[in-house]
Amino acid sequence: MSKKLPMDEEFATPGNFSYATEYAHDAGQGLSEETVHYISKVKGEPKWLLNFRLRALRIFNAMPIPSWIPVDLSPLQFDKIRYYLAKGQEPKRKWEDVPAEVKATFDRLGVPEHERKFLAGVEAQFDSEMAYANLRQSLAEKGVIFVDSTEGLLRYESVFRPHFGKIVAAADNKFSALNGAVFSGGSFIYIPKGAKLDQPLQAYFRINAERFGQFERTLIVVDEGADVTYLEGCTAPRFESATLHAAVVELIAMPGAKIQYITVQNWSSNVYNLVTKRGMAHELAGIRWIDCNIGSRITMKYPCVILAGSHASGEMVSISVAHHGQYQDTGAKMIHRANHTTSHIVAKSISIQDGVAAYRGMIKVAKAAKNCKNYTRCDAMLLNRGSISKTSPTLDVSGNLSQVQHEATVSRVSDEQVFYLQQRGLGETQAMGLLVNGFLNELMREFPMEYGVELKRLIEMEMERR
Amino acid sequence: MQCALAISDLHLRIAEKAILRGVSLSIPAGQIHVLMGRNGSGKSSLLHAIVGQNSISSGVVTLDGESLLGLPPEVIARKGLFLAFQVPVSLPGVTITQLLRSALQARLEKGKLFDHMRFHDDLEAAMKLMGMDSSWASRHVNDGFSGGERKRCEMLQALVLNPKYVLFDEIDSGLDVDAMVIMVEAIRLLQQRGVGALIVTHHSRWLETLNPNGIHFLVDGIIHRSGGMNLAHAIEADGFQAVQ
Amino acid sequence: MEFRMLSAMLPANGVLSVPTGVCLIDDLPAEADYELRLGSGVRCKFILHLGPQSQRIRRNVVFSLLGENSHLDASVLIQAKQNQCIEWRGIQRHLIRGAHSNLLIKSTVCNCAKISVFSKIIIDPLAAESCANFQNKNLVLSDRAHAVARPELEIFSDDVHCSHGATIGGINPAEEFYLRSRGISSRIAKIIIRCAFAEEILYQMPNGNASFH
Repeated sequence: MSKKLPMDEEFATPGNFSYATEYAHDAGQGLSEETVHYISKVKGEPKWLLNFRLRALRIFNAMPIPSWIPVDLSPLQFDKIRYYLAKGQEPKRKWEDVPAEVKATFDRLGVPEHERKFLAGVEAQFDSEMAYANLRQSLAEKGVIFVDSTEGLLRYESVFRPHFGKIVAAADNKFSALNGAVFSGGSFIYIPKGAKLDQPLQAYFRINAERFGQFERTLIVVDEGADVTYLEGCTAPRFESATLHAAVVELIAMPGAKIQYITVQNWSSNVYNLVTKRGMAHELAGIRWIDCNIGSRITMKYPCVILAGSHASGEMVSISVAHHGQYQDTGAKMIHRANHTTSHIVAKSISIQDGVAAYRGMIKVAKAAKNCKNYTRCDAMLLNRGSISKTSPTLDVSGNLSQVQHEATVSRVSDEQVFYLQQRGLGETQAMGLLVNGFLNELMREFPMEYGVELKRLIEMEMERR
Repeated sequence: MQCALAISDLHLRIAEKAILRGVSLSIPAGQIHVLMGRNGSGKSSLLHAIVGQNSISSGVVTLDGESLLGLPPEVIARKGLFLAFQVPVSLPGVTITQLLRSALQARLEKGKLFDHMRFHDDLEAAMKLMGMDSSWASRHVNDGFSGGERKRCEMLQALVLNPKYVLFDEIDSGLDVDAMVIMVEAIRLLQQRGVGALIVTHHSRWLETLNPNGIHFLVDGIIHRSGGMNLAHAIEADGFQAVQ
Repeated sequence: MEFRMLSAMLPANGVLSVPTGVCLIDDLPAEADYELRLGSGVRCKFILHLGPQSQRIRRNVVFSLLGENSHLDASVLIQAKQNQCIEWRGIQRHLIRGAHSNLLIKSTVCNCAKISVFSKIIIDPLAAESCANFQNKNLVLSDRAHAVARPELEIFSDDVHCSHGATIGGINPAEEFYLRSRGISSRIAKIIIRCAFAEEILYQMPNGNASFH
């Protein structure tokens, strides 16, 4: 990323910045029952949650790293990671109360001033506590709860507890178990029956300490007929040693509810991003995952929708860009458990230099489910000799009343296309940028405009690095 | 300084085969010249060589006195040469608007701001001239276009990018009479703006309407004969034998 | 093309260098593993019909495209009935530039049968200008039947044309309705659709291959 873009200073050195932060609470390096007790105590959690954490820790210790993992996770030394760091302050409600250094970080992230004011509830994870959590009055009037996960479980236990850990069990996989043991931060959202929000809820994430994993836990419960869009964007400073990010996201869409969960992931190139995201859609409900992975060293993320009620729908829109040294192992899972459920997946990936972009998918139609439909499309584009693309979908269908279809292609940018654009006066890099953005264009539209612009720039920058 | 596109003693070899064997041609600003010849006579190769796709073995190509030899294709394009391809590639996902905006932005001098309003107006005017409705602006370049649509799309780009010279490879293939009338009108408009043209065509029937300043007949990689409309009339009467 | 039976050609080590210009028919027993190698310029067809052999049927086949301009055109028909369990594992492996491979697998699954189709295309770094295609269509004909498909791609070279597709589904109601609107009973309509589905592969087989009936 040495090359500077003339267009925008701001994007010339993305993520290459960090601010010194003093921590009031530090669980130290390594993971033991004491660590878990410490975290739970600092956060003032009830007994049931401490027990949940301890059980998750036992599961984590007992579970092996999954054998199918395509990459070497040995640089992750679990006993060297700091599992909890916090500044020990309450989440801030007013922008004026946000520490200046945090604001400075936002400035570097390029969140425009005027936009911040309009953000319905900016929630910024600065290390493991909310540095800023502003809930606009209109949201509160609608009965919307938008807080960090700790506040959620302490103040809204009656809503939080019945759903927490039900969609992604601690025992789901080794990293969801790890998250269960040490989670802090992340959002808890509850949208009451029939409530519609005019604006997306938005969260900015940051990792800001070396060897410090982030283990956010997000739980979104959308009640009958309600509707929410949640935005999560990440940018992280660069560090020298490996950083682990093992988040868990659980979504619950009650009958007729709609959830749209949008992620732009641009962690720095040393982050191991191992995320479990899953949602359950009840009758007539819809869940859409919109996911863009550009950063991290390794991302393993397969957002899932369990279609539990009839006429529920699940959708996945996925963009991934794998540059030199990166492994983007992404995909989707759709589990059809009820009649007349539909799912749709479209995934596009770009591999640059020796980057590896992989799609891993699972479509399952259970025996009891009839008249289910799925359509999956995966397109991969390879930009260099040595770029690698993998596709591994599984279609598992019982019964004769469902239609499941998967299609995939692998292609590259042709010399003729580049020449055509050069003849129109574009440089080779620009031409590649335009073609790659064209390849991704139909999916870019799914992102909110400001994200779309940012994505486009990030991709143009990737072309510069090519 | 002479204002012209000048080609002198151009030689081109592709895979050890001599394609062009000393072509010389000069087109003053605002003039229309037509290049004719049988299939394989080297017409297309000549146009592609001028815009920098095929590396020229020897010879000189100058625009307004400045040599274009060895320049990357995008630099030649920005200097004012526009090639309308015979069969342009499709660019799935890239809209016509995106292509033109990027191409114009690439021509922008350092520090100057792109005039979006003006671009919008120019594009709209050009589309109107080419009989294209507004939906064209967001169509993907050449993707799923018919032969005639491709030609119109190439001409639209020429109108918006405003080059000094347009090189048309097979201007009329796949066009019906109405579409060809629109193309000729567009060329006239370009000519009024001072744009010169080198047009490859197989058909002499358009020559009368085009009223070119010069007609050149390419045989086996050299210009066999050059002339005015009299040459065109001879071809019309007796076919290519008339000039060979 | 000359039809040749695989049982008569396959060496004991299970690796066969395929001669050019033949159409290989896999007539092996229920369970078999083997590798077919295609050298430079070799063009061949391959046909396999899984179903009549046994209750449990398994194939593990590697198609290795080892020579430039080799060309493979392979078709597999799977017909699973009763409580049959049929598994296909196949790899189209391109090791050198300019090779073509096409694999089509069609299956029908009746009663409470189960089929699994695991197929992978691997394009090695040296295999530029490869062209590889895999298509898998699975027609499920009973609500107790079960089909699993996993079409995989592993591409290590940028200059390739690769595509794959897989479908699992029942009889298209629109097709059935069309036939019924012509006065054909639902039962017969389904049979016609099933036969037409299998026909794409069956018609390529040599005369006298009556296993389908």
